[in-house]
Amino acid sequence: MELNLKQSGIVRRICVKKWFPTRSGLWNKHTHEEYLRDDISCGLNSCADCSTFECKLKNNLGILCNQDANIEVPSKHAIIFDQTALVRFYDLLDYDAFQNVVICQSVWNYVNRKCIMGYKKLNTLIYEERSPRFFIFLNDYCEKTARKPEPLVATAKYLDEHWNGKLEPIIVCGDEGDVGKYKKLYQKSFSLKKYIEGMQSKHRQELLDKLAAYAPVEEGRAIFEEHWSNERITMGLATGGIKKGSFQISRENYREGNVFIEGEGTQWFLQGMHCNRAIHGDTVAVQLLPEEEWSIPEKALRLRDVEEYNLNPDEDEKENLPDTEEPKAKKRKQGALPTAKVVGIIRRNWRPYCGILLPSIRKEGRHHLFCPAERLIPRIRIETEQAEYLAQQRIMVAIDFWPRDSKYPLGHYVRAIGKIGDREVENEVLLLEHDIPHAPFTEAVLDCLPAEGADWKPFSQTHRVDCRNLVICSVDPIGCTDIDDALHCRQIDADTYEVGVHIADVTHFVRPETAIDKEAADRGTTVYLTDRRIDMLPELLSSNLCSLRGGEERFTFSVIWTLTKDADILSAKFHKSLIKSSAALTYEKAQEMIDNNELKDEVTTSLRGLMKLSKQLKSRRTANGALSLASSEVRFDMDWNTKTPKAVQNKEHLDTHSMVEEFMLLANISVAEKILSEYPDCALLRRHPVPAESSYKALVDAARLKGFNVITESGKALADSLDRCIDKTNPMTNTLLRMITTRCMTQAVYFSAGTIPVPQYIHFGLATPIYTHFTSPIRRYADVIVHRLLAAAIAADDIGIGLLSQSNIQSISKNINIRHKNAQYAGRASVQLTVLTFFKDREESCDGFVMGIRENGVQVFVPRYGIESMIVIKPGVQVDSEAKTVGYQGKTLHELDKVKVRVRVNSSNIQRPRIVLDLLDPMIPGLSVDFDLTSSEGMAKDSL
Amino acid sequence: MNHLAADVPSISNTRLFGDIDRGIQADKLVIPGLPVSQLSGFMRGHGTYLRGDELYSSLAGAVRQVNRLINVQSVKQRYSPEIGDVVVGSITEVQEKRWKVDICGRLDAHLQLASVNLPGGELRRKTTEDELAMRDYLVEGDFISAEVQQVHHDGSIFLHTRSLKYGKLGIGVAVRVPSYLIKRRKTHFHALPCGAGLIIGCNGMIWICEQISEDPDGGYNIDLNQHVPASNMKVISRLFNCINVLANHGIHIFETSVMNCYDFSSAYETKDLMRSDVAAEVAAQVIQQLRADIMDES
Amino acid sequence: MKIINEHGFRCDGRKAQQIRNISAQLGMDASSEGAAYLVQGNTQVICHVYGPHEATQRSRMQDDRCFINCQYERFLKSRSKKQNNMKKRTGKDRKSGDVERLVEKTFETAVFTTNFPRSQIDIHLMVTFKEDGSLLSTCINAATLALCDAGIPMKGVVSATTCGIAEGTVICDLNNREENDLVPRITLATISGRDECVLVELQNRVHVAHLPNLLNTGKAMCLAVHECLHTAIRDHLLHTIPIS
Repeated sequence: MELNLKQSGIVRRICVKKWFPTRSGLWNKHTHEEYLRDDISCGLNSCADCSTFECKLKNNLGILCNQDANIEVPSKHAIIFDQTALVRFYDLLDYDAFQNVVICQSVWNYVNRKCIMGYKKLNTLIYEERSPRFFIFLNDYCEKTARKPEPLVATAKYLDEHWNGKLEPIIVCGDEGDVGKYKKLYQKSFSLKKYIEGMQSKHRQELLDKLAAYAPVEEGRAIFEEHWSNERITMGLATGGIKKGSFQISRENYREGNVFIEGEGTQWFLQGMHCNRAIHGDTVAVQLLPEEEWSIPEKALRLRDVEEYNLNPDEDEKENLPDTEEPKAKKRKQGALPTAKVVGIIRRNWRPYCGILLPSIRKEGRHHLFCPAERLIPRIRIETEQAEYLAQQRIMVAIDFWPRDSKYPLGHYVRAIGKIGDREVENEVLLLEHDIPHAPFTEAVLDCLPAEGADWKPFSQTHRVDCRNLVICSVDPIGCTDIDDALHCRQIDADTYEVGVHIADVTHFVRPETAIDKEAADRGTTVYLTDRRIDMLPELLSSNLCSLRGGEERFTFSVIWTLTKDADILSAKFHKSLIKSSAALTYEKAQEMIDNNELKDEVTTSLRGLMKLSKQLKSRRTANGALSLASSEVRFDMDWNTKTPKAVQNKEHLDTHSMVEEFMLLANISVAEKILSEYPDCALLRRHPVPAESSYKALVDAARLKGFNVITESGKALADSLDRCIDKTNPMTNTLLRMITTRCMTQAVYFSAGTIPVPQYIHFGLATPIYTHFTSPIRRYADVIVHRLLAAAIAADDIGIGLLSQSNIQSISKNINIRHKNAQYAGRASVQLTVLTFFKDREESCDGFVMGIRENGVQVFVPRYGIESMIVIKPGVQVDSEAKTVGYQGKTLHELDKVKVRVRVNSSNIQRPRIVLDLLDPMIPGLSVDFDLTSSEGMAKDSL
Repeated sequence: MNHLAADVPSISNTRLFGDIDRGIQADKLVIPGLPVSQLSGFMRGHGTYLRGDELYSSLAGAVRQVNRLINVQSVKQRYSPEIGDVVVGSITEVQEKRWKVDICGRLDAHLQLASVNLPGGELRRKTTEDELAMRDYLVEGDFISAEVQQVHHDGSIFLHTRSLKYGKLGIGVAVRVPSYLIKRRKTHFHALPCGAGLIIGCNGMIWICEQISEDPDGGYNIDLNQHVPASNMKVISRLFNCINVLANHGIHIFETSVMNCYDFSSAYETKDLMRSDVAAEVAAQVIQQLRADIMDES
Repeated sequence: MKIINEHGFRCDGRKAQQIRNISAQLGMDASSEGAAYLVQGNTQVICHVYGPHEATQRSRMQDDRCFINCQYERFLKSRSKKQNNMKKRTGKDRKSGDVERLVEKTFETAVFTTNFPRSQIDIHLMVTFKEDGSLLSTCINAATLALCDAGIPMKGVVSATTCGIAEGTVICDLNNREENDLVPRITLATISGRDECVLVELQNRVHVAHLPNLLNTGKAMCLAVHECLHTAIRDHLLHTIPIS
């Protein structure tokens, strides 16, 4: 007897059986039930029955009248898109010309699986912006339309009947071939092209442009192997013959790549045609080749820019690909890496790319090649009639698909960003390419801020300790407006000191689950470009209410230690406080005050105490094996009026820098210990994995050339051996070796405690077993979370929903890791841009150092400007890549040798000005290429 | 039933007669936890409990009201012995001066040594020799018919076989049916015209044997290796199947219904009676006959 | 996988607080005093009740009341026949021990045990097929039905349901896919749908602020389940009064 009392809206229940293959070849049955409903809203505004049903979306259809908007469909109509249309053309949905759009649930699920960007776009339009033009019809739940062989047709028929003439549903499909199939079952079906052609809107031509014409593939013209079918891939994955992994193109050779196998940590090498239309970042299915076919990476540097720079896009239409392009796999047995080939793409990771158009030679040509700014992405062929206008613009292009017979993927033009070379436009491109949210804060976010002039002023709260009597000061760089940390030091008796670190109490203003919190979580970090700063929090907080300005009362979260005079921690306590900063100093001023023996006021005594203790802390850390590395980044002095760079800043490292740094580290470590002890399964921590022995190869080889032995067994051994590498002839050698070390390091990441074994919590670089970020909540979201965790641990604040959930913390960590990485890259790209601007009208001769020697070129690093470039040597010069030397005209060049170069900008191509290095001494003719080696990650390992 | 239930044992056949009026009104049915009566001043009987001021039901069944006494009778219950019931049971234990008998009730019943008739029909006090010789009379596994002598308030039951019709049972077949199908009648020992004897125990155990005899020996000297003629065996097996048919279809078991069933079943072979379709037919005929009898009487 | 998807429904089309289909049958097996077969969604439980009868476990026998003995079995149909025959896994792991103890405790409160001194009531639970979530509540519901069928006096019909919290909303009657997501869930059993709880079992951790909401919704759902069980018992009674 079936009983389902008092269930509103459910009509019947069906059991769905699915079969899955297992490893041993058997099939597993899996059953689940589905409940079919009759209270699914149809979406029509005027429909009386459906208005009573509970629905997440308002019934929007029919409000906007699109009668006579289209010649093809004269009546008021609603459009049902099919999946091909949405996956390829989701950008078009932005246009108002498409009104009364019904998206079926089955199509929505398909888009979710196949095309992340499309899904994100739909989600934003429908659920976040609540655009009145759209409605989602849940056809999988609705009894009348579920489980039908043709879901779209069933939906269309049902809606037609239900709406009874008030609105006419039509089916629009993306592929011409499908129209026939739909027309047989449902009369009112059109292809997208036909529908747009019939539009009366002014955007008609633009829309048509965006539709590319795809020619069918003829077998004879196929260049690439066919991808395997989905079933074959699933079987292969289940039995183990095929592996799934993430595809990364090599930075040095655009024809080679690596696949990082999911779950196993191994990587396989791919070369040339075996990459089979995989694009950097895709999740692919690969099959290992037999051992005879394994090969090794070419030692040459091959960059797309160099080889494809002058290619004619139109030639592709009729050419037969010459075989010279194919890299010859040398059959060297030793060192051969496991090589594989791509047999299918599981998930494309495409996004819209910024770049420029390479115009076709033929004036009337419609096909053009688009060159993305990201050098790891191949050229994209698009079709447009506005080539002349677009050639001067930075544009965004999205990839649609890559047919077998095309050398390049096919895509369509999305929008124009602005004129090439315009600084704002270039900045915009930079931000877009690195996926940095930079839109102004929305109304919802600003509403979360306390109103201007309102009673937000700090007042004594019960759980806050009043520390206004303490002498607290902050030390920051010149021109810093977001002061988030302040220190104080008080001598209690002869042997004990009380030291306090006070961090701006951001979580008092940013409450969980508010719009401002969500926005900050998404941004993850403040991004520093050379000429602007993209804040994580609105300025009212970052520069005013949270910033610990001198002389003003502010809320803070404090860590107070009792230390011996040897800087041993006797006790630590954590509480929220109210402070009044006595002084907001700069590093230089603080150093002056300490050094000036005549000053004996409280602030200076406090600073001296801090300095003494920090020196102890530092020496202890170094004894434990903390690394001090050098970075190759430079900063520019900007002229803020014109926003142009004046000169490179001279980085001076003062003692006060170390002083502040030591206490920040100590605070981070103490807080990490506290939150881990309270929440061993969901504390947000930061770790730096120990690099593998093999990743130090570049460093060990370079040091050996100079006669130094670098030991990489442990952090301490490494630090000590680096300290011993002093080259009296060249003081820069030590710095260069430290820079190479930085590049061998792994990336430090955030993670949730409890997800990995405890020994892996260590932070290698700082030589501490546990670490987190606590001291900069204004510019890092990780610190906000740690503040909340610490507040929960000391019961100073409510525990928000989802705070103590490991999966939540893990997903937050994942996001902020990505954002942090993107922010770093964006910062560097901004510096590179600024360098270009700086050298626009000048040339300079500088010192450079040889960082690496390849088969076909030399890597030169100019430390003054942080420029690294590759000089591709013309043939005729003797390059010995084994011994790492270059011989020319009797002179030999070794790694880490000093050379003289001329730095200038080559603007022969207006669209892409490049920094060019010419070797002056020794004089070796060659072509210099832009080669971004300023990442601090290892050469091969790119993924996180 | 939904189609997932392919592996479930088959439905009890009572559902086939769902439309027959069973003489109970729907509003008199209650489940545990429902209030039984709105009015106060009733006395509570079995199957009810007092909560606050109201009477609530503790069983799932029909409400019966006798004057001021309200009780709830559930359909199925473990057999609850009353004084004077005839029961058929099996010995589970031999203890000092008594045997423990399993009568399918809540507890095992006690058969005191003092309550049995000894072989030879003597009525004398039992001596210690008798105690030692208890095993000669009844061992574990023997079937007996007895009458309930006493029911104590803590639930323990005492039987006696102090009549020649009770005693150890010889060659025969025991059938166990739910005890609610057995009504208390004047006599429980029947000699059926088809040539077999039937002892219907109130506890749901029914004994089918060749003939009912009053053995002066009290049944202790029966030779269990006696040869039983084939015709008798056939009769006994047919009766066995008939009683199972009645039990499966929820029909009360008493002499008349058993005989009716036997008569109607003669159209089929004995082994066919185990098939559900044949059983259903026979049961339908029996019900019809019973109803006809009631109509005739009234 | 999100439990409540962006459209506001759960993966099988139910809203957040709708229970699954309940299918019940009583008295289908004449070999035991009471028998019940209950299907909640895809979870199927067969329950047999034997008793009250003479206590076989002397150690647990009590002079003034009966005790309840529960046996829980999982017949894993997903294994091959050969495996099943060779080693009929009775699933005697910690989880089945937990279920047994909880069922015993629940019914020791609900059944009038003082009516049967020195006796024992056996409850045998068997889960057939692959279970699909809310196992404990299905077992309790099945046991209730079987006890009613067996005519054992109880304070009321015990109805149970499992509720959880996902993304701040309370969801009822979780299925297997939802239970895997480390969602905090509570199994609640009440007598006769009234406000008296006989069983509260919590899995995973839940913040104390959510607890009142969870309990109230649970009680409301228990009432809904009670209605279903009530109908099932009634229907069964109508069909099993013996024909005289």
